[in-house]
Amino acid sequence: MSDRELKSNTQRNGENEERKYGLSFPLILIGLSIFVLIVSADFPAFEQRGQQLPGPRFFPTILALFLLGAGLVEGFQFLRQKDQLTRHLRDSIQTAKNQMLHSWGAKTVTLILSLLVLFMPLIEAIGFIAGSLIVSIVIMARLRVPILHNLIVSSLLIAIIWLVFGQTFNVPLPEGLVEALF
Amino acid sequence: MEILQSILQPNVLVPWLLAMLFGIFAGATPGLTATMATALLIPVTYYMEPVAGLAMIIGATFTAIFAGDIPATYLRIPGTPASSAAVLDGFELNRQGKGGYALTLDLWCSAIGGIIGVTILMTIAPSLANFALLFSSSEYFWLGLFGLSMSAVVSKGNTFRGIVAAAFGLLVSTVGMDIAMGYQRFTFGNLDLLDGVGFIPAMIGLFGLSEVLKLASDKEILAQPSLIQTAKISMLASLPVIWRHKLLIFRSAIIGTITGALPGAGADIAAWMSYGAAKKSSKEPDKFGTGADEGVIAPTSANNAGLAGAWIPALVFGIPGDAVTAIVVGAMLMYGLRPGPMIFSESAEIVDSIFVIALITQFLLLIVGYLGIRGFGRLLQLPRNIVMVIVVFFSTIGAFALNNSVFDVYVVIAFGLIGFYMEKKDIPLPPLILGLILGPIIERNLRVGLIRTGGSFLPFFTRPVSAVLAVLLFVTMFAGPAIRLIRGYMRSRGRSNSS
Repeated sequence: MSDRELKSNTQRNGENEERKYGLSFPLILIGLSIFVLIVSADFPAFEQRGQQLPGPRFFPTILALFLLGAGLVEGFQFLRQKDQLTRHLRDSIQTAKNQMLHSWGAKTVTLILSLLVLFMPLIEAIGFIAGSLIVSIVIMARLRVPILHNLIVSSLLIAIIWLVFGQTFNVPLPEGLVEALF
Repeated sequence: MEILQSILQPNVLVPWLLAMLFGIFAGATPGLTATMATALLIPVTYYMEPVAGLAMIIGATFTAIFAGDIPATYLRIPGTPASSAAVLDGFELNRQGKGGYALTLDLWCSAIGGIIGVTILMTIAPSLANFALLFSSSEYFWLGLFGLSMSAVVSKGNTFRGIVAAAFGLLVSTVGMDIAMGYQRFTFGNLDLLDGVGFIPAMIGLFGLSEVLKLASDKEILAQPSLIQTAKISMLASLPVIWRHKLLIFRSAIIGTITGALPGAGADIAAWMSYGAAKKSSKEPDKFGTGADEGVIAPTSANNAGLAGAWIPALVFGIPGDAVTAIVVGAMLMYGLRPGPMIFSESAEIVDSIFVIALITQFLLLIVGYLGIRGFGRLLQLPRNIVMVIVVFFSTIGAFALNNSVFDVYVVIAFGLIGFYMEKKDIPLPPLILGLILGPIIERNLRVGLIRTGGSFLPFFTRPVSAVLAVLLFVTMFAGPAIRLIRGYMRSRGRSNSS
């Protein structure tokens, strides 16, 4: 095996191990369960004829306690592996993370998510057709669809959605200047 | 014969076929569900003869349940909730270039499952409905838990993380108005959360958007066609497989019918139950989730059978088994029919017509469904980067269209992100969905049961049906690991003896 292959394999193994024993998952579980326990502590108790019965907090509390336990197990697994892993993985994980932050894929995912978050306010401001057309063209451009295809497909797609949902099923899609023409 | 003649008239047959084509479109479009398709048809059928109107409704619902499997297989986006179990192996087969094969297999199983379900509906409907009436909150609680135990079964890889995902799904299902006291839980003053987190937007985000995000992060595969069809779509190619798995189809259809007959369960739970049962009883359970034929056969035979099963309590007691049959009961009342035990004597001819229509629909489904597979497949010959954008738009607008709610679009985005993260961490997605579906059933029945018994768990174990379900659950959960443990112990003992 060449040095390059060895390095690439180590890096891949590093990513897989980091996936398996990463700290983010147990931290999310512990954080979520503590949050649920705090919020549900304010839920009212359920009493009938002086007897305490399962109220609104009963089920979420059981689940939060289970998730807390699961988070601790996952965290313990991570810490148990940490000593062995740290030595071998520190460099490869760092490289993988750097690649994640600056790669084309990560930027594309961020762009799509941001556009989707902005999508509804945008179409409410300028109407469904214009807003959707802008978002569709931008996403397709990012996904490297040739410009002519991009324009044709975007226009057709928006027209079909507008006809099916807006006109046939009477879904109240936000209206703007373009819709006013019809 | 007279019934057949009255049904096969152009004034019934033409709207029936048109409704089935509409069912294909509604089922295959994310955001348009079988329930929505049925609801949209009601005003159209208002002025029609009852037989023609009911033929349209029955045709559209059965077709929509199958059509939901088309985007589930090609794009990993379940068109209807009943298709979420079909995603697992159908999509894997599609990845291997066998999407068309998976869907023709699915189509045969849907039709056969439907025929078995309708036959059971015709023959033993009253006794099955009587059995369903024996169920109280404790039985429904165990049934819900039994369904959830399937999450451990359907989890590919890490079972522990599968159970964690199911618990997270259950937790998400607690958002909204509390069932007993009407208290708002985890809504933080947001009115959109009063009814809880929408199951369909969550499903679209979890399976659909997360897949888009995953593909969008890989530059090289974006330029490839979305559908890599290596073989011609042939209905006959899947027939030998159907024959080989005839017992599995039969068993899945039976599970589907019985589950569908339980009020509140429906075709979606039926599909998961039979998928779990098929994996559990398989000689090669590891194949499930990697494109196994059995993983397509079990849920698709069950979901159409589940729809037929849901008609049992609807017809016999006027209690709808799910949302679709609730609308159907409404339509029957609109035609002056009164679902209940008396309908079999008061409107015997209409009831017989319903049975015959439901049966013929399964045969027509083979033709209409095949057209749907071909049509949708052609659309997906487009490059993947274009299809991804189409999926994003249909997912977001489809989610918005469900309740005309912007909030549902944000649910799609949030669950898309959650799904993307979960897949990066090797956490299985299906248990989360199962937890979301079963959460309200489990919590409601646990709490109602405990309130009835003054906080005592004892009746959950002493009622006969409850006890059987509890034993079944424990066997399902612990029999496998226990056997593995004993085998391992025996093997190590044998090794130490020989050395």
